[in-house]
Amino acid sequence: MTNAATTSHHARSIAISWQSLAIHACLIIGALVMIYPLLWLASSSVKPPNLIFSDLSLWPARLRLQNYVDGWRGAALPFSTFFLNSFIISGFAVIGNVLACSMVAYAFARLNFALKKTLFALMMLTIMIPLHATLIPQYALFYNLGWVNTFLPLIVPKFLAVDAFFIFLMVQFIRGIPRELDEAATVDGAGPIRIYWSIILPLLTPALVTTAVFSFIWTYEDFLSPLVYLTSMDKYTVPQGLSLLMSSKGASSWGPLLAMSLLSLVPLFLVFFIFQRRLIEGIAATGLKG
Amino acid sequence: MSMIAQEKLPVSATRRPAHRQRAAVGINANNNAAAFLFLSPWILGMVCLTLGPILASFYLSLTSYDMFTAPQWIGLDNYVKMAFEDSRYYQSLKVTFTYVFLSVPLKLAFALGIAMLLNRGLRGLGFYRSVFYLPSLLGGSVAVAIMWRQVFSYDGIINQILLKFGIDGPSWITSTDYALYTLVALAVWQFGSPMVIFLAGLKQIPQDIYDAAEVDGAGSVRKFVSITLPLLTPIIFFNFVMQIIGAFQAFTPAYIISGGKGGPADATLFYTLYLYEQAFTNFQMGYASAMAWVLVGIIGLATAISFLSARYWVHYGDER
Amino acid sequence: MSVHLNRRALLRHGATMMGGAALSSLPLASSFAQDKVRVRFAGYVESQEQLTQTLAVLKLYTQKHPNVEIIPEFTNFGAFTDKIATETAGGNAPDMFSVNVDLLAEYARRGVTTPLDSYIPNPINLSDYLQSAVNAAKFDGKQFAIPNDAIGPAIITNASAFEKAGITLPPEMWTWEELAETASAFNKALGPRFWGVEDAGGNYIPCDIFLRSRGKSMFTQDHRLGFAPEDMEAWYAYWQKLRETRGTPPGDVQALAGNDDPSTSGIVAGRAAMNITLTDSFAGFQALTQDNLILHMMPNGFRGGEMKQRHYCYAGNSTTVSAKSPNQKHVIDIIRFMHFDPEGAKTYYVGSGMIPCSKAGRDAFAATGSEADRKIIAYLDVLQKEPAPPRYPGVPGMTGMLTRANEGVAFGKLTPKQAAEQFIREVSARLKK
Repeated sequence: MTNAATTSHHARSIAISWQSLAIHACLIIGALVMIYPLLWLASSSVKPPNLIFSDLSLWPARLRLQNYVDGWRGAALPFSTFFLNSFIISGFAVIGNVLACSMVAYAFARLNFALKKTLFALMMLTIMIPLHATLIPQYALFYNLGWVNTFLPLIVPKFLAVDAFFIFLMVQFIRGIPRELDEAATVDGAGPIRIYWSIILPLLTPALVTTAVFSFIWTYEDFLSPLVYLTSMDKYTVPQGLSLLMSSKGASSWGPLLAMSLLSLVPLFLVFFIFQRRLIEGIAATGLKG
Repeated sequence: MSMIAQEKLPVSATRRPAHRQRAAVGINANNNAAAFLFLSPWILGMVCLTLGPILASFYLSLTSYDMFTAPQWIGLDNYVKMAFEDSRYYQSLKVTFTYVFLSVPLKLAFALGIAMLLNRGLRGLGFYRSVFYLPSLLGGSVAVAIMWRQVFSYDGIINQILLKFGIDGPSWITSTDYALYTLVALAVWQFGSPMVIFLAGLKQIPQDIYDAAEVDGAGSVRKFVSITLPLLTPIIFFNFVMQIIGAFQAFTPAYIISGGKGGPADATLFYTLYLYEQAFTNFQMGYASAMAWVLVGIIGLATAISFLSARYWVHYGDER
Repeated sequence: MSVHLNRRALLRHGATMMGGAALSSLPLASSFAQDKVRVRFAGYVESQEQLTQTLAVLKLYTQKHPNVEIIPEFTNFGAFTDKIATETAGGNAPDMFSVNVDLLAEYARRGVTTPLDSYIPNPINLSDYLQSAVNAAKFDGKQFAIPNDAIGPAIITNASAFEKAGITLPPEMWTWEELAETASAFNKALGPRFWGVEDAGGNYIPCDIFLRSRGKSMFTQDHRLGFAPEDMEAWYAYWQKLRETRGTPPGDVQALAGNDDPSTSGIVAGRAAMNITLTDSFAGFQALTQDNLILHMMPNGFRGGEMKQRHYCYAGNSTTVSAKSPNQKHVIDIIRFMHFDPEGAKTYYVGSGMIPCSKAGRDAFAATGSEADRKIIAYLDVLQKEPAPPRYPGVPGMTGMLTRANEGVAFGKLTPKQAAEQFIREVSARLKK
């Protein structure tokens, strides 16, 4: 346990262990509620189609692993293509968001400049507009730039900090960092760039990791933007690959659809599982423990 | 780095927000050159990518635009129609406000509660954290739609259980009385994102402060009330504002019921769903754009009120 | 096509992305070359089988015509409508794309697509095609699309459930009263959680057939409403009565079942015997249940009234050509190949789940097709014995309007009369545009 320090003083006392037993019991019950639908998905993904919706039991009466083979192979392209495309786009989105949003957040949180409040309000405005209202002008813009059917419309905006969610997130985290640290560094002669790089960024690790995880997951799951910007099938991402399977009039879609739906969650789960550890370990590396 | 941290950190943990920042001196002086250097990606993105489409959508809100032929200027007609002639518009407002008022507090309460629980030195912490985040990974995918039906539909697990007690339950997910609440339940079930942000916020609270408080003999309740809660307020505020914005824009949950048509009988007609229907089913992009700008006004107002209230309850580490 | 996750592939993808060049790894678009004609073909597919065969026929075409490169841009119907609207509005419509009857009217009316009359009958000869389908692909008297398949309205009927309940299915030419009586018998025979027919009150085609049984129709040929308010009131009252006699499920149970999604249907869940839908859903329904499903006609009249075959066939999927496409000649040749080249047509249709729109194609299928294919063709043949007047184009969002009004009645918020008024008000507002 990396953060055992929190409870180390008490962990051995009996009262606490009863308490922790109760907590574990609650957590396990909660966990079951949380994952029941996933269990259903897992079980249905290995059922033959005529049992998926007619037999509700979690234990498949007959196994059909062929769903995975058929789904992976795909009618048009193998799912490996869709996974690769998704990984490339999501990977760049992570880098773009972490770099650009942390820079902008630092300026909003720590530096004073003209029109600060106005610009901040403008930034917040950009997250308030429903996606569908700006979709067509935005499409026309990217089309005229010649970016349609490339990954650019999905990646370049991330490097230009258009995700105000993450800027605002990091602003809040930076503002939680005591200003005394910056001031001490200023006394030592550090400028804003050095302060950003060697004080703020390391202390911001939890927020940076959160941004990275969410950037990856949300970009990976995004449907509408890839749908309109990636026109040819070899550029499709995982959700678009799934939507190809989501054609209900055929005889052979449901099994592969559910199988690939489950499989498509695996990278997300791995990213989350690995990074949530970094979230904890990252803090140990910053020296905040004292 | 770590030396600075050691020297400077254990200051008073609970800061009073009432004092506004002192006059600009030293680090507080305007630093336009550096600031605009840091802002440059955002300014470039704003000018080149974001601002144009935003302004275009505002212009379109003043036109009649069917997407394929040139927009016709009609002034405020779209807004007038929305206010006086469209009863479904008011239904969409009602649905959306109900959803916001129920889902946001419940989701945040769950997220904070579980985050607090998970922030202790528990065995299997990573496992729990991941499991509790799992539903949020599903987002608004097909899988989640199918699964939610397996729980709340007429043949779903809840009714299977009720049947054992001789109760023939309704189809919760598609009854005009309960449909919206099953979507609120879905939002609460997907509390993972604010939970992770809370966890990150909890991690950022320096351990020294707790240690110092413990030396002073503070119990766990006092530590929570006078250290955790105040130091977490910037993050609580963030989650609060973003959840409100997100809930007003709720769109995908409605796809779980009636294929995104807002059914049954408009019981789940979310604002953005109706906007989408106007734009992409009825080809009334001008009207949809006008709806978008009214929504911006509503969300903007809610956000502005949140920011004003923040002065009284949000404690920032950078304020003295 | 197997993609190896090696460094070269990564680099290639990286280069594609950075340079923005349309480097493609699909077999249909083998390389980026200036001298090739590039044709973008966007569409919706409704089954894996259809997607496989469509890609196969396009590949076959490019093999025979190395100077043409076809870029396939397919997805499912829901995603397609958003995608095509965005692309068209943004000035980037594909050269050729799929439409159904409603989309055809929207895109033709606004000049997005081009009339194809000059290519008929040479090289596109539709004389052997279902005339109702050809007519349904017209707008303002001009042929705006070429029908790819043939579908017709039908009741997907669970024969096993009829057997179990000991209820006999009336003959094909039956009345709306008989449907109601048959449906209501199930609830008594098989228990309170089983209903005879799923609510079709919000469904366009059955409503149109019902109106035609009353000597009216939903729309007229000149794009106006073809019925009086009391006709629509009778429609909503019909379903309300069925709900009361428990022939149809209550509003909440019904609302989940979209009539084109088998996974939410009562037939698949094992609590309904009949579902009114279209023949192209048949294979999808059959795949999800172990029961034996058959196709049966909807009622064609009222007791004591005129009995006449009123089911029209049309295409669920037609191909249309963008007015701005510089490659119209090539597009037409691709369509010709898919429909009339013996090898091309065979690749496009066999195993696709689509029923060909041509008589020759259907005859070939009747001998060689799958069991589902043969059931559908036999059913369509019955309809063709006495062809009904075609379907006339409506307005977008029809299903939504009908369903909202029907659900208003089902949930006790509207009377059938109010529901009819609400529906007429909403449709009329659309028709004016």
